[in-house]
Amino acid sequence: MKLKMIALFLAMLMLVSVFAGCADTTTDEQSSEPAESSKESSEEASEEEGGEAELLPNNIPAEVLANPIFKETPENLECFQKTDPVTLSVFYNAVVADAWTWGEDPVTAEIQKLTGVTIDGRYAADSEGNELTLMIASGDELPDMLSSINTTSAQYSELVEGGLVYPINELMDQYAPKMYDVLFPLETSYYNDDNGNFYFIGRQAILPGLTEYGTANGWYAVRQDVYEELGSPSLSSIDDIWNLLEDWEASKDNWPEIKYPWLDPVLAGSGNISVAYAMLGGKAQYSSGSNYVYDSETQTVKAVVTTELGKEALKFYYEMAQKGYITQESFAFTGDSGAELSAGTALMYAKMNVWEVGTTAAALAENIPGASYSLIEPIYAEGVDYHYYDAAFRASTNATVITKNCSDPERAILFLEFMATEYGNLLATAGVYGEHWQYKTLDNGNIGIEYINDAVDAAWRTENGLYNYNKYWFNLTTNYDLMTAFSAVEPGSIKADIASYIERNVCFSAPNFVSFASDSQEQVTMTGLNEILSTYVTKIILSENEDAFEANYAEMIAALESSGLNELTAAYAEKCTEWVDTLEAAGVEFID
Amino acid sequence: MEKTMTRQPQKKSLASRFKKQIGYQLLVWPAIVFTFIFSYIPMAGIIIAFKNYKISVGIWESAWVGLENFKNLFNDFFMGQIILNTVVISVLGILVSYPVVMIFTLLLNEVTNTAFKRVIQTISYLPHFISWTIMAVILTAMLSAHDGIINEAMLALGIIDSPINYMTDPDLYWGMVTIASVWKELGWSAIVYLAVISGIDMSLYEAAKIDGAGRLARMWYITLPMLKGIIAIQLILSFASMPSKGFDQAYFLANSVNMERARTLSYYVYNTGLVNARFSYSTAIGLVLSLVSAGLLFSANTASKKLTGRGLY
Repeated sequence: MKLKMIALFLAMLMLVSVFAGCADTTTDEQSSEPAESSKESSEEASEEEGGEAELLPNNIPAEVLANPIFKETPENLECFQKTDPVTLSVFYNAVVADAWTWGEDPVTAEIQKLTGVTIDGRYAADSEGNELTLMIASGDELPDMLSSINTTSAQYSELVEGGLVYPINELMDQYAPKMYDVLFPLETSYYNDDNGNFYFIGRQAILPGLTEYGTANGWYAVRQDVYEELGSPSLSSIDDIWNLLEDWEASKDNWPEIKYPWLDPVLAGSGNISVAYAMLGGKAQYSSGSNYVYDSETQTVKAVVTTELGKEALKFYYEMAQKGYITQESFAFTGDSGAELSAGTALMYAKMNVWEVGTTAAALAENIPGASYSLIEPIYAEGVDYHYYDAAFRASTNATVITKNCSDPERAILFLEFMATEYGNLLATAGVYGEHWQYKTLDNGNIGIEYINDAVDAAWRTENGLYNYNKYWFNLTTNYDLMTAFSAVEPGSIKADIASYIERNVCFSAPNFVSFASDSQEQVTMTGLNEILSTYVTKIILSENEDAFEANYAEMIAALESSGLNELTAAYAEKCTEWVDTLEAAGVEFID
Repeated sequence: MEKTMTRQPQKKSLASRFKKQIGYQLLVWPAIVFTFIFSYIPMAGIIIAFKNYKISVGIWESAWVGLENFKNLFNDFFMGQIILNTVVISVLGILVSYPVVMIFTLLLNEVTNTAFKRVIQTISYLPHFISWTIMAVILTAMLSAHDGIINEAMLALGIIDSPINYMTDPDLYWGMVTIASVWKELGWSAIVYLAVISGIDMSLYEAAKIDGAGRLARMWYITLPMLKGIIAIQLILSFASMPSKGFDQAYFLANSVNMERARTLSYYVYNTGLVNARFSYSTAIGLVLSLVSAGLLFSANTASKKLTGRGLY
């Protein structure tokens, strides 16, 4: 009897433990407490008001409406017709060091006030994207919006082909027709499918000719304290970089914490050689841009590494490795820039959007008193007009979609409409008008922007909720990236330039816009080739000597070709040409 | 002549046997149900390997592609290296761990101070409870080229002139994970053998002592033969699990420099399936992996029975 009771007890215990894993796992420590609201309550509120909400004037400050820099804001935007509280859940397919608590900083509080929206955000736990895959495959309810989605990924294809996301144009037609006036011309036509639908709003930062500093905050950062001790030399050419590194090496014992003379996370993570490629004169779309370039004259596509300039870029990195400036250990870098920048382990940090510099400044100063990182103007080959090359067009990799599970798709599209306005952009990148920034008249007579607070630095921007790259990836046309780095900018007349950026850079915009179906042989081939590239780029750069470099390079070419490179580039060229032809028929004039 | 009455054993009904074993049945049936629900029913998902599975369409409606995914497997550029990595890491693990565990077990068995023996045993099996996440952190702290303890010590002692890139050098990866795995599982593996040793009749040792056998002779002629059976079982299980080895190590220790030596079959299944969302292809790889495991299990069991007379089944 006693045995039976013990056996029964153990059996029950085992049974309970079997089902323990079936608990609901939707809690998240990173998300803020969502405000209690629902579409029903907003409808009730409007009913209480006596029917359809009154058409409200824009809540954008009058001065901003009067002095737009990039674009006019249409009057009576739909997004201001509904401002009752609503919470929208967003999953960001990206790893973020410091989670965002919506509403606790001036900027998000202002957005909340103007739109009524509270964002309940959750970030990915790792950078491999399997969380999104599991989310889609599990069949569980998706969040209201998904952001930082790579539109060339299999996950994106599953979302679209599976009918899991709304066509954005349908939502715009139904709830926010004025949004077509908010978005830039042709912005909504680059990604249309055969039915004329597009399913995402891409994040774009198009900054041609805005400033000599180019993109957001330069292409790299340097340990400012070390740089000053070495005499603050010029850093405007590749030779200058070599000189700085040599000077550092001569007295490197002064800074034992520096273990990465040149840290290039994108190179380490994915074999992307675009930093060196651009320095040597190539039109490189940095960050997670395509590994391919399109030649509109010959209507062919080539893998960047197979071009002459691509090989030259590899040689540049190889020479860096030979001198010990790129270490084998730097390739083990898994992307936690924050940890490295907080510890000051890099002398030069070659990452195109060094937002981590701002967020880690305080930690670095605490770890190494007097240490800091400063941003560096990008280096371009002589004679290259970088104004048109440096713009960050990350549309294909930072997209926001509205899922069919969205509790309030109307409010979701209205929210995106607001963020796409000039003021929405300015809020996210420059702050609250009158509190953080004000207009100024530039020497050339144009209207510019300046910060009110002289002590603007990265930490201040983080504290005030200003354009944290990682937290604003649903932000649409971020024309004000540069605001976060420089307190005063002198934009020229760039309205006409913005839409033409794509035309000026068809060589890499075409491969970036064109994608293959997730289950197509081309996509499968591309995935395999990217793996080969990543493996061989590392191997080539870390070659023991010149002979090994050449041998490894030849091996890579052979591996790529035996894995379908030629077939892929042929198919790619066909699609790119078709894309170009379609847009040319729509009035786009490509210049390359 | 008296007739001898023999009582025939009564044939018990299933129900009465079940009732008699109710305690044991209650213990085993939850496990059976669990295994059926979570191991057997999901096997139907193997069908994905023969289809072009799309989440949006569903398993049953996805198009059939026959053996296309398996063809891609054999044409995969990385497959040769991946199989080599898997085999080498597994074989190295067996070749190094078994002798080390056996020697450790035998030496520990010879320790007469019970308290000391228990302390050593506890310390030795504690690393088993450290996850590979923590293990990766420990290894990085110890083996980092820049400020790792091992490199610092070797430089200080003049053994090397410049740091060794343990964490990134592809040539060192296999050795590093093998040694780390052995260290991690040494104590835990020894428990099984110590349990068997504790069951050996002490009179055998006494008799051997009387006959003049020394420690080593007692180990060689009594202890090791008694462990033959369990060693065979463990080896069979090790061979069967060979194709699935190396995932944890690859996931936490691989980087773009050593990936060509780190990428194993199980890691490739994960990467292909969950990261690249190529479910059909990864299922095909997984199916091949399972079939190979089953084949290895059968072969190892057959070989063991022929050589030692013992097997799993």
